[in-house]
Amino acid sequence: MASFKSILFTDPDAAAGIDDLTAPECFADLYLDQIVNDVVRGNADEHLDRYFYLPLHDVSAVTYRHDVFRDLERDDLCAPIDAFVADMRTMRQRLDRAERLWHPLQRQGWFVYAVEAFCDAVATLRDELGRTTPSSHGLRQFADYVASYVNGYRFRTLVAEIGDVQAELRKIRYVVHIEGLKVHVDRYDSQPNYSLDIAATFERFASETARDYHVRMKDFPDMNHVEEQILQCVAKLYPEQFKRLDAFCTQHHTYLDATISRFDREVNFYLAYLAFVRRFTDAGLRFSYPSITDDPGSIRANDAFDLALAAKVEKDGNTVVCNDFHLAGPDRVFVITGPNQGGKTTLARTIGQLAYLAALGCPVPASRATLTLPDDIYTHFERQETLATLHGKLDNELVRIHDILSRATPASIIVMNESFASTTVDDSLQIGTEVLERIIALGCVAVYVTFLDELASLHRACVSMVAEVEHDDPTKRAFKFTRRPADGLAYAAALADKYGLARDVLVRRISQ
Amino acid sequence: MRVRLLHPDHDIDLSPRLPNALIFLTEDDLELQRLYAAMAGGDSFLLEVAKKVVRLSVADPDIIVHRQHILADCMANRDVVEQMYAIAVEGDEVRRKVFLAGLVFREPGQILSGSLRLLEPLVENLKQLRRLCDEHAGQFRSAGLRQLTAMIAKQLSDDYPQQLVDHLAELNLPRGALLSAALGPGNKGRGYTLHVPPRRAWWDKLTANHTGCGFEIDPHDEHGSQALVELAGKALNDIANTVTQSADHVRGFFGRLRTELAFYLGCMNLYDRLTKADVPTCFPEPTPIGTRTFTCRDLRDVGLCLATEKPVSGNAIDADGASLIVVTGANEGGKSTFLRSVGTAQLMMQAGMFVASTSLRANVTNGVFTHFKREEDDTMTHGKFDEELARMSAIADFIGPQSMLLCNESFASTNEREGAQIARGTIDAMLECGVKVVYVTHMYDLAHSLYRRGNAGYWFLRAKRRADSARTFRMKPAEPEPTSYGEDSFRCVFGAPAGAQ
Repeated sequence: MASFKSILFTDPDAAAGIDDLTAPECFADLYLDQIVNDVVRGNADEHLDRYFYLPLHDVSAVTYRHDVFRDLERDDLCAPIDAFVADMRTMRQRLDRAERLWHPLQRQGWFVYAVEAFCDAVATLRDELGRTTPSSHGLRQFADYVASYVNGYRFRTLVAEIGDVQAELRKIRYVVHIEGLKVHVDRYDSQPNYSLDIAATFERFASETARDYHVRMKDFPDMNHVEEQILQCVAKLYPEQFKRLDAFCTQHHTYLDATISRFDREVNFYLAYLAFVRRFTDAGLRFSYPSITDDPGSIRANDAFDLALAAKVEKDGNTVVCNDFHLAGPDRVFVITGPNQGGKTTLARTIGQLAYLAALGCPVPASRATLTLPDDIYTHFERQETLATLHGKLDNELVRIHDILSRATPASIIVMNESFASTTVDDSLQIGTEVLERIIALGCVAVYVTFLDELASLHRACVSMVAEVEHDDPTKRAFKFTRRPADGLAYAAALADKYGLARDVLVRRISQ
Repeated sequence: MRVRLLHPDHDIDLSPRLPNALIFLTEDDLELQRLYAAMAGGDSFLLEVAKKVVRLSVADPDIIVHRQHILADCMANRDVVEQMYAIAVEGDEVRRKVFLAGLVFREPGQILSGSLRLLEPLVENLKQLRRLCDEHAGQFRSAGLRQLTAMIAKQLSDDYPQQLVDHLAELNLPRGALLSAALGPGNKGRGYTLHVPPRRAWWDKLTANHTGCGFEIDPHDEHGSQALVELAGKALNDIANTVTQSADHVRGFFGRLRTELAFYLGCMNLYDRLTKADVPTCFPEPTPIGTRTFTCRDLRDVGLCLATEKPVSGNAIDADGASLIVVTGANEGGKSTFLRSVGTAQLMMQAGMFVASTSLRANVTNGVFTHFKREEDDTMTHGKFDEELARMSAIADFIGPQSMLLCNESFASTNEREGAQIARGTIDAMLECGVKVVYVTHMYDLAHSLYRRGNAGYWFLRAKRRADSARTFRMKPAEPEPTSYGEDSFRCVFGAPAGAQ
């Protein structure tokens, strides 16, 4: 049997204890919580989000996932695996019923029905995978595993027996005569269908546009006590078939293969993310597989966008503005400045999201990207004051940044948003300078959103990103960022233009 | 089972095609309420049907003639038609006879028994209808009524009503419900089918040597008996649906029969009224759409005939080939009455009715639209001229090629030059689309400019004025004149010639 273990992890033990994981600290600040909620929404596995809490730290593990993702973008692989996942969901629903129902004959009925779904799902998957060749290591190995499992003795016996049991049960037909409160059950003896008679007699009164008077029957999986008594009568009328059913259930209690079951759970990570991505690619946005490096400070992306924002505006039929950014040579820190509501925080989040999603081995929201694999992503966003900390707001922020700086390594990424704004500008500038200097000394990648233009030119490791406004109407934000010195003038100049106060114009007006 | 008295091949949809606002305007302009009231003869059902059918103009001459023949047949066999109508009313109102209140229609069993109670009297009505047709079918001459009676004879063939009665008895489940099922998911029953329980004696024989088993629900176990009802319901679902749909169909058939006959009864009511007032009537001759015919003798306005005891004069017009008819002439000279008589006759013809005239030949149109001078808009949203333009724009939203537009002093609420300009634009656009326009106006500028075009398709009529100033209420072909005899009106009111003092 092939050595396949997991479709998500090259090291099968990496996922140990995954069900107890909680979201990393940066999740809420980067709106990754919203993104992941959107991705896993509607998925039957309510713990699917746990896989998004576990970023990878190994380039080869990321590549393993990229390859699987690429395979699953192919229709010939995506369709059979989608179908398999749906079938397995059906199986789990049936098992769930079997466990919840009370009557033994019903439990057995649902159990057989669940096993049947499993057999169908696996056999179909084997056939479909046999028709195509995955290029990823992960799916190739899985296909081998499924093929040898289906050919194995255990599976073949299961399929044969279940066929017999079900065929016998399906042959059973019984009549029930209800007269007043008396119920009589008997074997069916080819009595004619009275509905057909009636339909024939009333046919001339039929019209195509007639309203449907069928009552929608509530179809609960469980039975009431009358149905149970009838079922017991049926079991008495057909004893052999029911004996066989009982034997099957005892014998195949542990039919579910652990590796296949794990694949079913883990592959949802890929399917859910791809389905999520498709919402945006349909709207014209682009995703790409980033090239991943171990080099600290290697960050470059074209047409990147905030995925959480895109998900929000997509519902209203809008699209988001995409931005380019990169670090070159000694660059380590993006200093983002610009007018309020100009998209500064959005850009900071975008950078953080890209780094995190890349570390998950997912395609990222950018048309092209090269990203470093961080050992951790730290965020320093404004927090609501709480009494619990017993500190003032500024103190609190300082405590947090101290904590971050003591844990961060050169391979980390730090995203800071309007930090230290709750004091005077001078203080703010001084603290900002101190902190930035420490970050630069550490040599890790950072994003620093601020209203202090001075910080943008603090050090040659700083890259200044400035938010633009529309040229003809300075009250409109373009949400575009360019790499240029922060001058704080873009907005003012445009406003001046609008009111005819631009320097040249003003000179002419005065000289007239 | 189909009625097909309004259309030889299908049940026409009686819901209005135009927005209500537009319909009401037309009916108001043409004063059709008098016509409807005369057709209804005090019966609100007849009133509703008359409105619906007249509003839905038919543009196919064959269907118009089909209806004319049926109407003539109805007049000849009025007794039989009235009896048939009485049966149809009974069938249509079956729900009033059967008390169904208190039944909750959530179980197929209940739905079934409700429908059975409706079907029992309905089958009686079907039998009556069959009997009536057996006795009188031979008297009918029109294709429509012969088709109907033949259909009844065929669909309700001799033993069929008895078959229905037998099934209705069996469907009351006198010997309980016998159903069969197979085992579905979780060994729960599925595929429920209903069977006829055997007669008791035979059943005893059968069970004597069979291994069946059974049980009995405790009489105090309400859930148990409810469960039995639900179980039976699963097998009864299909049948309840079939039977209920059938009950609907039969009731619907009587409803339709009642509606379609009601139209003809309405026509006969109107005929009585007109004949009593010595108004001539005739079946008009419809010519195909786009043929541009309009020739009449002694055409009168039905509304006016119904409104007054005094004799109403008619008009003789030969306007074959006219795409535009411009009517000018004396105030109070009968221009509006003439316009209404044209519109009403057109609508009555296209409903398949007779018209108030000794003869009429006209082409069918895709609908009659009216744009009459109106009182100031009391909603204050428009000025008078604005209101006129808005109304014409509303018409333009719905009028199609080959329709008919009747204008009465349109665009006269502004100065004449401006009004004429707009009117010419409107007329030209309408004519280009093949809309037949009849335009009553006192705007000399408009009438004269149209006259000077010398177009052979333009007809000009003038309300005739005799030298003694007495109006004859007759329209004659004549060139527009620059005065509308406002002086006459002035003198009428002031009793002396204008400028005489």
